[in-house]
Parts: sequence; C-alpha cells; structure tokens
Amino acid sequence: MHAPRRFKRDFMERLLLSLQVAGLTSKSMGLRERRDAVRVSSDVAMASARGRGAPWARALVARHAAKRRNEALLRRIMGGGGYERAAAAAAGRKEVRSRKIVTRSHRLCSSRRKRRSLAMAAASGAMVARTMVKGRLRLLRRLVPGADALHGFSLLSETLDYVVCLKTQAAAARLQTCMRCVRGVNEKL
Amino acid sequence: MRHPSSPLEVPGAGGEIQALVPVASASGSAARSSSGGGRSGGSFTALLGLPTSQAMELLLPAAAPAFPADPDLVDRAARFSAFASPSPSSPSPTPPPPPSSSAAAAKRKADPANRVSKSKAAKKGKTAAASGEDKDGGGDGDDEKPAYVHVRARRGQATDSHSLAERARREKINARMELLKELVPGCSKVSGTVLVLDEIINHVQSLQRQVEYLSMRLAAVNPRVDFGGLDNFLTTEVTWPDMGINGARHLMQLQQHFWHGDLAHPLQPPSQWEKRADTHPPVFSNSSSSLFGYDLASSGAQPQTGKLKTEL
Repeated sequence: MHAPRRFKRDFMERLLLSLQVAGLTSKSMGLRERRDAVRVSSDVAMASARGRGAPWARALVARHAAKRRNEALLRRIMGGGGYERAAAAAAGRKEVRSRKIVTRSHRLCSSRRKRRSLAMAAASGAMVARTMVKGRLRLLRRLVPGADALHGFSLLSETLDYVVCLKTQAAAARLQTCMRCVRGVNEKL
Repeated sequence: MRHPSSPLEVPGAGGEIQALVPVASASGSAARSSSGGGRSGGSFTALLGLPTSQAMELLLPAAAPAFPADPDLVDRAARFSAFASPSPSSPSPTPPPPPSSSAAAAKRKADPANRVSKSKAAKKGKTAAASGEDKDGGGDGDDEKPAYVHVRARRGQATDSHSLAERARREKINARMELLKELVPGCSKVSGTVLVLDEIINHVQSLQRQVEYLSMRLAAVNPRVDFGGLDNFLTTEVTWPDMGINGARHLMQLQQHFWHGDLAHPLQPPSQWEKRADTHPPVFSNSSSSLFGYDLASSGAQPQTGKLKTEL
C-alpha cells in the first residue's frame, strides 16, 4: 500500500528475472544454498529496483558482494559492470568502518567521562531518555544496511525507505511462494 | 504574505494535486484555479488527510511517464500521500492534472512540506533569511532545492538564527517520526520517542525475519523446478485457466492485496492446502498481512523487548 505501484512492479519483474538467473547458475541441491541464492537474488532485485537514490541499496548489495560465494550469481544478475561497482563499494566501506569505529570509541570514552562526572548529579529524566534514545538509534544503525554513518534526520529517512521496501519484498516473496505452491499442487493432481 | 489558516479539510471531488501544494500566496494561481475542493492548509496533517485512492491515482499513473529525474523525492511524496486514511471519500475519479505540473508539484510537495508546516504555525515573528522561492504555481521543469529554508518564529520564542535552525531541524525530525509512526503498525497510540523507536526496531527485525523465512520457503518449494518457470503467470493479473478454482481465487486475492495494498479482507482459511500440500508449515496464517509482525504486535512486544534488552 505504501510503495508506489511502479516500484512494486519493477521489483517483481526484477525478482523473477534474478530468480531465473539463480536457478540457472547454481545447480546445487542443498536447501541452504538455494535459500541463500534466493535471498541474494531478492535483495539484489530490491536494491536495483530502488535505484541509486538510496544508500541502503548500495550497502545491501555490497554486503552480498563481499562474500566470495555469491560472486558468480551476482555477476550473472547484475552484469560484470554492476558487480565491479558492488565490489568496489564493499572494499571502500571497510576503511570507512574503521574510521567510524575510531570516532565512535572516542565518543564513547567522552560520554563515559561525562556520565561519571554527572553521576553525582541526579539522573534527570531527560538524560535517561536521551541515552535510551541513543541506544535505540545505535541498534537501528546496525539493522538498516548502510546507515552506519548517518545521524538523526537522514537515519530516519533511511529507515523509512528501508521499511517500505522490506514490506514490498516480503509481500512479493509471499506471493511467489503461494503461487508456486498452488501450481505445484495443481500439477500433482 | 498571508496564507489561509483554513482548518484541515479533505479536498472534495474536485480536489486535485494542486490542493496539496502548500498554499502560500505565490502559489495562489495554481491552487485557486483548482475547480473544487477546500484549500487544504498545507501542513503535514493536510497531506495525510488526502484519501489514498485519489492520491495514488493522481500521482502514479498520470505521472508515470513524466517522472522527474529524482525518484527519491517522488517516492517519498507518493508515500506521503499514501499515508492518508484509507477511506475513499470521493467516488468519482478526478481527471489527473497534466503530468508536468503534477510531477513538479509532487517534487515541491516533499520539499517545502517542512517549510509550510512551520509557517502555518506562525503567529508573528520575522522570517529567516531571504529565500529561494519556488512556490509559484505552474510547472517549472526541475526545481532546484532552495538555498534557504523559510522559517517563521513562533510567538514568544527566541528568534536568533541558532534556535531557529534548531527548531527547523527538530521539526524535520518530528515530521519523519510521524511518518514512521504511520508506517509501523501500532505506533500511533504510543507517544514518546523511545517507545516509538522500540516499535520501529521490532518491526524492522520482524520484517527481516519474514523475508528470510519466505525465501527459505521459496527455496523449499522448488526442489526440482527451476526458479523462473512461472514468469508469464506471475506478472499478469489475468486469471489462469488451468488453476483449480479455489487456488485461483486465493491467488487473485493475494495478488490484489499485493498490488492494491488493501489489507482489510481476510483470506479464507487455506485448509485445502494443508490437506494436500506437504511443504506448508502450520504457521501460515489467514491474513495476507505480515505473518509475524501483527501477531507479535498483538501478543505484545514482551519477548522482543526482552531480546532487545539483552542486546543493549
């Protein structure tokens, strides 16, 4: 309901396409491998349907590209150029992450100092609320792909985007499974 | 620079997308030339008051060929209007405005929504820096984002630039939180940032888990069949002649729910599936809405918050 129809249709087409490619690429019979292939293909479909406008899309694809196992599948789905871009994004993110870790540890140290200094002062309600909010935001950053370096407003925008797309992804996957189930059932009869 | 402090009114049958464009005086021509409908106050709540069907109809099919080069804004704009109350008030579909103005208006709607929400609350005060005003009606091709944000100070509050900027930022963030509250089910009755964030995190986690579970099922459903065998059937909304009657009906319902997003009708219980098929876990529920999310929300978020606390 929330995502525009064009996006849904786009995503569905890409999903089917990538599923087809996945079926051709990996002849593996293992359930887990197939499940991984399905997940990779659906994530890539969602990310490419979303387009360049959202940083979480790039981060999601980069996350998959970083694992060596998915290389063949990704190459097939996105083409060589797309895979190169994803691999570059995956490599580039590592340095950013190390820098982020350094700055975040600095911030934690300083906040711990501040907290100790304020330990004497009454833990005011606002302070407690703020730390809780910060904790939640940290969790959110871990959940949403590519939102590691975002603060405040942009973080919320990213989550908004991501939630909408996750919803469509779940709905599309549900449609797919139901249809295939019914078709399989009908073929059995 | 008066803008109408009109109460929040849902635009009537003649309400078109011009009604959504924030009605500052400069855009008067475009707004007043709209045939019917009240001039909605241009705040966020006015945007949310537009019925879904109208907004979707106006935004999407009409503007589909002429979308501007910034899909992000337009997506966001579509989502803004899609968050309206689901009751369609106007049965007669209005003729969609020309795509250029609708596209431009869609872009402008997402952009100066903040500006307008602030200016609506103004009683007196001085405006901030001079603005790049892009509120004139009519479709100018692509608007650049204005350099300054037009802010009005509220009555009795400090008017120096720092607090104004802070207030602008806070309003933006609050607007986003409102949107997220609309999106995540069961958040509208919760107040306070922390709990809302809790709910959002729960929702995201449950959605991710759903996707994982569904992809596992999808992989399990096709043991031998290659994944792409059902292309033609799945993208069209035509009935398939070779399906069983019940199956076709279920699937048409499901597909309609997907495309139209109407979660109001519960499905019939898929008992016949469970009898015949063997790959159905008993978890598969009747509703086409989320498998886990709504169940968790109804049964309370207790296990989730427990898990959250350990993670924290």
